[in-house]
Amino acid sequence: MNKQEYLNELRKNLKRLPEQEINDALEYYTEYLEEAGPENEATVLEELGSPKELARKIIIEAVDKEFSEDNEEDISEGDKKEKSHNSIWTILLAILAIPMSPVVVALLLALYVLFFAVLITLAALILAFAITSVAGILVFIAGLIVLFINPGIGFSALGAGLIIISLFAIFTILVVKLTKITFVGIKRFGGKIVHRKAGKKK
Amino acid sequence: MVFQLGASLLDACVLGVLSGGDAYGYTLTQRVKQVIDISESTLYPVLRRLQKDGYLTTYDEPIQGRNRRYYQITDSGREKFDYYCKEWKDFKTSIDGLLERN
Repeated sequence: MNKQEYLNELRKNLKRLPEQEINDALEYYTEYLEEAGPENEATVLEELGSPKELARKIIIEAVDKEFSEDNEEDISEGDKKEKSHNSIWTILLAILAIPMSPVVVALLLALYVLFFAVLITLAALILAFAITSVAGILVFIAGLIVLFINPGIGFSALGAGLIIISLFAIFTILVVKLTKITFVGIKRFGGKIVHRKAGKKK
Repeated sequence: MVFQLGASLLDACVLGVLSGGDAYGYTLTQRVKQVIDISESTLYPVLRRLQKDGYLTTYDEPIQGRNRRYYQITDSGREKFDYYCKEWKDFKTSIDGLLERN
């Protein structure tokens, strides 16, 4: 591969970055190769790695900066939330921008499908428990009314209603925790994929 | 080189070279490369970051019908470099202290 082919290939691999960033990188490496001179061209190209690898490095470096800023946390809760949203976007963009093999693409797709499946399951669980709790409240109210007619049945209904409501409360807490864990886990996993790709040829 | 090189030390090296005079990408890389085992692609992101943080500026100079982009250290770059030098000396002294025990 000669210089021009290499640079064209590099541009292709950077195409998901902003135009300005692509031009900056291309200018730098064009000049760099010219300064190296024809006699060193082969050596420099060899050391730069394939255009794909170089592009990956440039992209990762652009993303990595945001990651490290993200870790310097000691900010108010509101800022924190915004930051983590940003980093989810950054991860997504980075994953999209990295040239990848079809296998990795398939894996990532599977991951996102899994993510939505989990999300839907959790939503369904919450709905089911909400309905149950309404039933619990109804049983409790019925118990209150029956209490005056037949105290025995009335008290059992009250008890049953309370049990249902408390079970609902416990499950709600569990589901909320589970949701949090899932989100954090998926965010970390996404970050790991990006970083592993970055670490490959550093 | 046996020892791992952190980002700040690399920044310090680049600022150090530039405090001795302006340089362009290729010579800058070769100069640092003589001392530290870096790849040809290491400095591009470093230079961009330093520029973004205002520690260096660039200017273009035409040569043989094309452009050469020179990097120049700024005043705040010099300040940063002095800070790095001081930190490095402290670090070096502490490490020497640990190593000389044997």
